[in-house]
Formats: sequence, structure tokens, C-alpha cells
Amino acid sequence: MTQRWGVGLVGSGLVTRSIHIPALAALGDLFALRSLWDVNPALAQATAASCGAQAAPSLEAMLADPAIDVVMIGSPAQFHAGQAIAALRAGKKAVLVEKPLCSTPQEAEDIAQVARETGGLVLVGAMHLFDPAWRFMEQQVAAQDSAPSLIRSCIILPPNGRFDQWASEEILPPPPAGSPPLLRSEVMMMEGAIMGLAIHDLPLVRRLLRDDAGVQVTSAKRLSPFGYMLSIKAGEQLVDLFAFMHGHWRPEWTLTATALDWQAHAEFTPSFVMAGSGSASFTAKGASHAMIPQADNGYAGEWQAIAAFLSGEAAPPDPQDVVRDFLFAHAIAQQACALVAKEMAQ
Amino acid sequence: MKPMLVAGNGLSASFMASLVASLPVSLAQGEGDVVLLQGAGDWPARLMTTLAQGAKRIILLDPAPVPELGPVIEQVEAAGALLLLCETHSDNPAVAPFAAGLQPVFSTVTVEAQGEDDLASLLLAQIRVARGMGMTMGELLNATAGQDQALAMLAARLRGQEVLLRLGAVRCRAGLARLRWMAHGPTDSACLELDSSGKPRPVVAWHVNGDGMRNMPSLYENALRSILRKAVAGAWPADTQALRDWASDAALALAIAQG
Ligand SMILES: NC(=O)c1ccc[n+]([C@@H]2O[C@H](COP(=O)([O-])OP(=O)(O)OC[C@H]3O[C@@H](n4cnc5c(N)ncnc54)[C@H](O)[C@@H]3O)[C@@H](O)[C@H]2O)c1
Repeated sequence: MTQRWGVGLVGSGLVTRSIHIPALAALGDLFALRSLWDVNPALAQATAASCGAQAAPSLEAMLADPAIDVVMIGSPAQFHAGQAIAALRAGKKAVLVEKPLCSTPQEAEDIAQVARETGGLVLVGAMHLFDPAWRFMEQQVAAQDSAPSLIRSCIILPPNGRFDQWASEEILPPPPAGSPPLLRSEVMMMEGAIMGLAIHDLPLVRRLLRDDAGVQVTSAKRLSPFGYMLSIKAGEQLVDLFAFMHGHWRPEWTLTATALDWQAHAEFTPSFVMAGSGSASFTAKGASHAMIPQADNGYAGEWQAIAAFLSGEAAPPDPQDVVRDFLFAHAIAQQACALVAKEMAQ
Repeated sequence: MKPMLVAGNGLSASFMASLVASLPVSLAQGEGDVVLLQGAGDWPARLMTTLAQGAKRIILLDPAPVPELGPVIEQVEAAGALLLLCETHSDNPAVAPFAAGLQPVFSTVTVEAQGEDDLASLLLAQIRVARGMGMTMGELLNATAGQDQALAMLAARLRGQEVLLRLGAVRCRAGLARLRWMAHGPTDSACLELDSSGKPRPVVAWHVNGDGMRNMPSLYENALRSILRKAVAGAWPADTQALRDWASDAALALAIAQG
């Protein structure tokens, strides 16, 4: 039997409960979920009890446990860098950081530096990178001579809550409504939309560009109630980023790359659900071939990739990859925010 | 009933023969009643010649966007000719009933088009469908274009509501040429997907909100057959206003295509 890698989860929020615990449960031959930690000890305990894991008394205690090989960071983004670096320094073999990797370019460089020093792996939970639909699309695109002239990422979703309720159950009742919601400026909303939502597919978009260094956001609009509309130029290529969150049930999450003589298209399931992979098609010369949904989605793919790297079945990724992905998203967010700020000032 | 005589200009003999055969009671091929003028790039010159030859009723099929249409419009007026536009997307008979079912609940509209046509024609088709949906175009907020692709953002109105209109066009010889118009709002989405081939293929049309999803039935019908039926019924425009509106949309498409 292959080795089962011990796992610790940081944070017991939606992502941990709806995504990682179910994904790990299905991969019991590869991973053993050992402990969970959250700043809210009651939530950590209730969540741990629901999946037969231990609630760690502290992050330090979790990281000191030699039975834990892999740590998933599912806390809010501002804590990702510190916690990822602590896990790497504690000698963990791999850290899966939920998106976004961190909050600043410097933090991204610091994480990669520590990964190089310790030899630990760092992956970001950009699940579509690990979805068979993207792998199919990437392979087809790589075989073409021409680059896509237009890349369109379209994320039309119902509110998160719907999928969370469908995907798992509430472990504890939600905290009573206390202070009024934080007032967020248009600029903060744009940054949140890009680093929270667009970031899912920006690593895929980056891989479809010939040169991602000089991306230029030529227009950026925030959409109400939640969404964005961005035009981006990268050399000769254009990127159309669109997201809209509505109040009904019909999701539509697609990525399309179009060149003069071919088109590659992927359709993904919404976040949180465990409905198998997305589907994809490639069309050229009047004919299409398609990949139907596979059993495992990108969440499972993240963990399967970690197992493959740790067992030596696959070559480990360059730690700089996650930095490049972060810097790409960060550059787009900064430019979009600057455009929004300029418009607000007018 | 006496069939309407239709003469093709810039259209192949087989196209004309199959068109007439598909509406055998309403149409016959021949000179005298109507000229069906194909709208490839040199259409203004061909139109002028047709007018000079005395044509009084002209159906202009998918005119390519051209700048400076003033003299052509004047010539149509001076000749006392009646001109009916026929555009594959916006005159698809599914557009008007779909538009009639739209409620004032949308804040954003996206239109995507892909096909072999030149960029300005793809953009023009998008603008024309937006008009067919009852949208009025406001300021062009941004346009970014490459050789084969363009993105634009416009202020617009739909059913009296301010909406942001996104146009995205890409030239592509692979797959089905198509145009997709979609409206987004906090409670509803509505979508109409049109085939660009000009063939009488059904459209995909739906409207969704918290109550469920409504599909619109769509028959095997296309813009050309529907416009010809109109012409046979005598529904010719009394003036050149439609052509003037088209010319301003064409100018917008050309401006966006230039980035
Ligand atoms: N991959 C995806 O599909 C996906 C979807 C949504 C969110 N996310 C990402 O997952 C992460 C968590 O999101 P969520 O939706 O679960 O949020 P959440 O608010 O539901 O949960 C966050 C949890 O972290 C805990 N927490 C707060 N501060 C902490 C700290 N310093 N250390 C440890 N735990 C702390 C909170 O008590 C809470 O239980 C974010 O980075 C988010 O961007 C990923």
C-alpha cells in the first residue's frame, strides 16, 4: 500500500467544510486527515468531530505534530503568508494555500524563498488548474501554432451561500447579526472581486498568454450587485474578464480561448460543489472533439497532484510559478483599482 | 395572388433559385418589383447603379459597414425608392418577440459574436441586435481592438433602465459562427443565441429567475424569409430613417474596430 500522507487543516470555514474535508474523504487511500485548527475553538472542535479528526489546540501544536505532512491554509487571505511560511519552516512537505496565495507581492516572494530553502512544496487552491477540463484545454492549445487572439473568462454565479448550503451542512449556527456590515469603497470591492473571484481563472488565463509581463487593463467596471467587466491587453492578445452574481440559481462558468482557426472552451461547475470535473471542447476545421465530465474535479485534483509530487511520480513545480500567478493577478487588480479610483474622482 | 418578382444583385443563381423555391406562392424570379441587393463591401456603388436603372423597391441584405453614407441616402430619397434592410441577426424573427418579453430588471448586457466576417461586421451585428432588443446606445466608454478581436463597453438603456453594454467580437473560422446576447440583473438573466449562417436554424432563447426558466419556441425561420414576407405584405418603410440609424450604427462599429 502507498504511504498515506497526514493532513492538517488551518481554518474551519466554508472552504474547509464544503471542499477539503469531502475531497480528502474521497482520497482516503492517499491522505489521512489528522487535525484541524481555527481561531474559533468551538468551530474547530465541532468540525473535527464531524470528520473524525483532532482539534489542534494551536497552530504551533499542529505544526509540531510529525504525523502531519501536508497543511492546507483555509484562513482569510491576510493570514496566508505567515501561516504558510510557518508550516514550511516547521518542515512540512507541502502546503496547499487557498486562493489567493497571500496579500502582497513581497509576501509571495517570501513564501517562494522559504519553499526553496526548506524544499517544501507550495500549491495554490486555484482548483481549475487541476480540473481535467483545463488539462484537456491546455493540451489542445499547446499543440497549436497560433495563440488565441481573445480569451474570455465568464463567471456567472448565484450567491455563495446557496452552494454552501447544498454542498455541506452548517456545523454551528451562524453568529448573530452584530455590527452593521463594513462599508467598502468601490475600489476595495474591485480588489476583492479580482483577488477573490477572478483569481480562480487568472492562472489559466496567464497560461494562455504569449507574454504576461506587460498586461494592461484598458477598462474596468464594477457591476452591481457583485461582479466586474474588464478589458485587458497583453501584446496582440485581448482578455475579456466578466463576472456577475445574481440572485437566481443558474450558474455559467466558462473559459474560452479563440484563435482565427480554432477555439478551446471549458465549462466548470460552481465552487463548493462536488459534481465531478468540468467539460471541455476543442474546435478546428469544422469539427469539434470534447471531453465529458470526469469523476474527479479540481479540488480532488489539487490533492492528487500533491500526492503525485510527494511520491515522486510527478516532478515538483517551480516555487516561482505560484509567485508569477500571484503577481499577474495582483497587477490586474492594481490597474483595475486605479481605473476605478480615477473614475470615482471625476 | 400574383407573386412578387425578385431580381438578385450580387447573389448567385442557385441562391436565388432556392430562395424563390422556398416561398413559391409569394415569389418569382424576375425584373420589375424588387431588387435583392447583397451587401458585400461595394454595395453602395451597386445600389447607386440599381437606382440609376430605375429600381424603386430594394431589399438590402446584410450590408457591410461603410463610412459616409450621406450621399447614398440622398440618392435613395431623390430616386423616390423604398429600401428595406434585411440583417441576418437583428431581423431574425425570434428577436422581436424575445425583446417584447423583456422586463425592466437588467443592469448589464453582454453580446458576444464570432465568425469569419471582418471585425466591423461582427460588431455591427451586435449593435444591431442590441437595437432590435430595444436598446438605445449612449456613450462609448471604452474600445480595445486587435487585428481579429475587439472589446467595447457602452452606456446604454434597455426598457428605460440604464445598462452597461459589453460587446466582444472575435474572428474565427472554426466552429459555428454565432451571436449571443445576454442580459444580467439581480433577479433575472435572459439570453438569445443566434446562428450567423443565415440559414433558417432555430435560436436558443431563455429567461430565468427565481421562479424557474422559460424557453421561447423558435421555428426554422430566418431573417430573409421573414423580411420577404413583410415586403410581400407591403410593409415598406415610408422614409430612409432606418437607413440613417443603420449608418450611425455602422460608424460606431467601424470606430470600435479601430480601437
Ligand atoms: N477554492 C475555492 O473554491 C474557494 C471558495 C471560497 C473561498 N476560498 C478561499 O478559502 C479561504 C477561506 O475562505 P472561507 O470561505 O472558508 O472563509 P470563512 O470565513 O468561511 O472561513 C474562514 C475561517 O477562518 C477562521 N480564521 C479567521 N482568522 C484565522 C486565523 N488567523 N487563523 C486560522 N483561522 C482563522 C475563521 O474563524 C473561519 O472559520 C479564503 O482564502 C478564500 O479566498 C476558496
